[in-house]
Amino acid sequence: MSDSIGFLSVKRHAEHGYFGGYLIVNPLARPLEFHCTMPVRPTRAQELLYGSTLDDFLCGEQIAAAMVGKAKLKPEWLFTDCRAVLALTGAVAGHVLYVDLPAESTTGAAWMPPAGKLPSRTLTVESYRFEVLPECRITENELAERLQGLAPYFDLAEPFQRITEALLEAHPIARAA
Amino acid sequence: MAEGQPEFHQHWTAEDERLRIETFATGWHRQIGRFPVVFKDTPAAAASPPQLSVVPIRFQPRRPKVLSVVFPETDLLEPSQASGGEGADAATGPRATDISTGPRPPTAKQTKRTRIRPPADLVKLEDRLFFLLQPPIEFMAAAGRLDFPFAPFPYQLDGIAFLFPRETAILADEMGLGKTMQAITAVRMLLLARHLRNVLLVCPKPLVTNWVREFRLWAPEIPVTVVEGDAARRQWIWQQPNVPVRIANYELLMRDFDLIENAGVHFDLVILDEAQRIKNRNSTTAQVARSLPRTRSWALTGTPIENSVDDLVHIFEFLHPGYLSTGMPLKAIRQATRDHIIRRTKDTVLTEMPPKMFRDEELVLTPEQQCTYQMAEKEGVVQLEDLGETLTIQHVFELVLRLKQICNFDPATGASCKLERLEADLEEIAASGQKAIVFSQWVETLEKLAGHLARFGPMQYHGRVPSKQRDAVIQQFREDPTKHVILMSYGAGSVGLNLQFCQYVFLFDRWWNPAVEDQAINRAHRIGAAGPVTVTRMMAAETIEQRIHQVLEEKRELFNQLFADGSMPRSTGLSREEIFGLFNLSVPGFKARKAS
Repeated sequence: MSDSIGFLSVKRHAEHGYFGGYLIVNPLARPLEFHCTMPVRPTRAQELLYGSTLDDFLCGEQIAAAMVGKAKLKPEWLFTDCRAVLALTGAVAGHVLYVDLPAESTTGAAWMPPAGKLPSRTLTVESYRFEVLPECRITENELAERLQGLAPYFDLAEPFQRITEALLEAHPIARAA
Repeated sequence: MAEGQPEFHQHWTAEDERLRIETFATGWHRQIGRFPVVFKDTPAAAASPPQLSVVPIRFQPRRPKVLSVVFPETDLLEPSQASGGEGADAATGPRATDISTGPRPPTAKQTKRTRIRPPADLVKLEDRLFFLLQPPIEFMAAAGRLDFPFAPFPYQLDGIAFLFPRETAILADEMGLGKTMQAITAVRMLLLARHLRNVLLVCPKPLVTNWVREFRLWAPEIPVTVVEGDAARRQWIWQQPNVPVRIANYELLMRDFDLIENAGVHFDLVILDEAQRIKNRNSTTAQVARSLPRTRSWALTGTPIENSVDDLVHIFEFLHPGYLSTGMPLKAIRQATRDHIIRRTKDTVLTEMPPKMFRDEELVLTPEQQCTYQMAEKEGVVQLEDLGETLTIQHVFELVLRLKQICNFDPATGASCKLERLEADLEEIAASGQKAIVFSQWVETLEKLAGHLARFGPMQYHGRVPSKQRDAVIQQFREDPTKHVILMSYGAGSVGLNLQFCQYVFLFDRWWNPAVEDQAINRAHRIGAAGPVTVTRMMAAETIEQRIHQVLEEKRELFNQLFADGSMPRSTGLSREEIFGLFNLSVPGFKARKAS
């Protein structure tokens, strides 16, 4: 388990489907790895089968799992701004935490936030509100300790902005829509 | 129940359990999971299991395709403890602010984040993502514990973020916005991140000490070597493999080009300061600069266009040979250079900067000057006309210079309407404890002025002052309260000096090129200016000076149009018609050369 930190985001595009981006940074916020998926569009059968849990399945079990599986580094802490990615919990050794961030402006892209339906519990540290699945044993104190260990300028929202821009760079189709 | 219709069992019975019912395990369709329904008393059902058709739906376990990029971890080196301590004369923000200090909770949101954007000509997605995924400049500086003596202005961080990823770039900020600091900080970050190892900075000779001082201030941990001394010493310096930053002046570069070639040195980055020095494509300076073996090329200039758009084209010959060509439409040039040039003006980025006020003083010549001037112009024009087809533009320039000198001082009596006005203004300036800069294109004029202005403690800074004494001159002028005026030539004093403690600038005579005048004015009107700067442009009424002023205004308009609103200028330079038109002369066809 490295001291790197993972930031994973999945975004749903109104026209082109789901886009996943996974950025692993070092404790100084410099990028170490980046992974992104090709656009994923659910099949009709998947839509019927998974119904309201489709986002959990696609974002967590498919997209996030694919990117995490490709990564060489295995961060102990994986933050996501997509609640549906919590479905990844258990499939990775580290902690998966959803960070409740104010909606970012993604200029030119028709993003919609995927919705997660899995039950979760809430942790509040500093001004951040986190959600984890019940089976995740992390406590607020442990989380606060980890956050204190980050560089003073580290802002959990900032890497997600980088991911968004990188996704638009990698998939100009999403920018054009 | 209607006859002939099967009877439905409503409850599960032991008989029913003998029937084999196959259902999907996928939960695909909720109705499949309902209570099984079988028919009773149907002979076929009783005799054999029902033949239910099964439609299997298998989901491919295929995962989404993933594009992966792994970046090299480039730890920033920890800077040494050395720290500059120069005075507040740099183009910077408030003193003693360190953006890497002052711990904040991880949740603190910064108001300004300066992101690095990949250059438009970077093609590979992996390379573009490398820059795009870098943290904001503020983070990188803090992570590298880069101390700044002053907090950079946001636009300066934008400039650093612009330079950082680029192999070819022109930093064309207006004078006084801190191009030096931006270039040094970008170099510093690239050196510390090990993207660069070997940088050559070329600047005009008088600015070498200024650059050394600024490096000490903004990048104290970066060793800087000035290329100087005798040939043997310079050869040794060129041959040294581990010199992060070398500073050479243009003249020396031309002299040492063979040494550089023989040393087999390759520069990761070559920076040309005051890059307008290579605006003439065929000059030796431009040729030598273009020949330097290098990977990255940056040009710093506040005036990428001095006379015509060709100036810019020729600077690009250094940056990106063949990228632009003379004669390209202005719109095409603008489009092609957009991603390579960053230019900001004080008006747009320094809204809180003290204003710069212009006073165009149209002074009436003294009777002595008037007499001499009229005679000189009349005779001069007659002589020019007599030259007929042998008349060249050089002849016209000679007359212009002679007339301008008369506008300064009457050669016979020394009378000067400009001096009278200057003395009156300086009385007031000195009485209020202020300082002023007076610019002229002639050293003789400056020396004459020094004699007349002795009571104001004039200092002189021009080509006849040895280079080694110039820093001392500036320092004395800055610190000595009895020194109220410094007399500068455009050539020596218009670039690289920080004189923002002066609130008055006098252009005793006008330079041919407005960009050079702007450079001169911005010695005082730059970041850190103590208050409003008053610029007095002196010109003798109804003389050649007034006519030239009109030409200068048109050239200023050209520059503004290329870098501001994008519309096409009426003219891209002084035509020979305009030069000859100063004296209502007709152009003698092929004899005249284009002035610009």
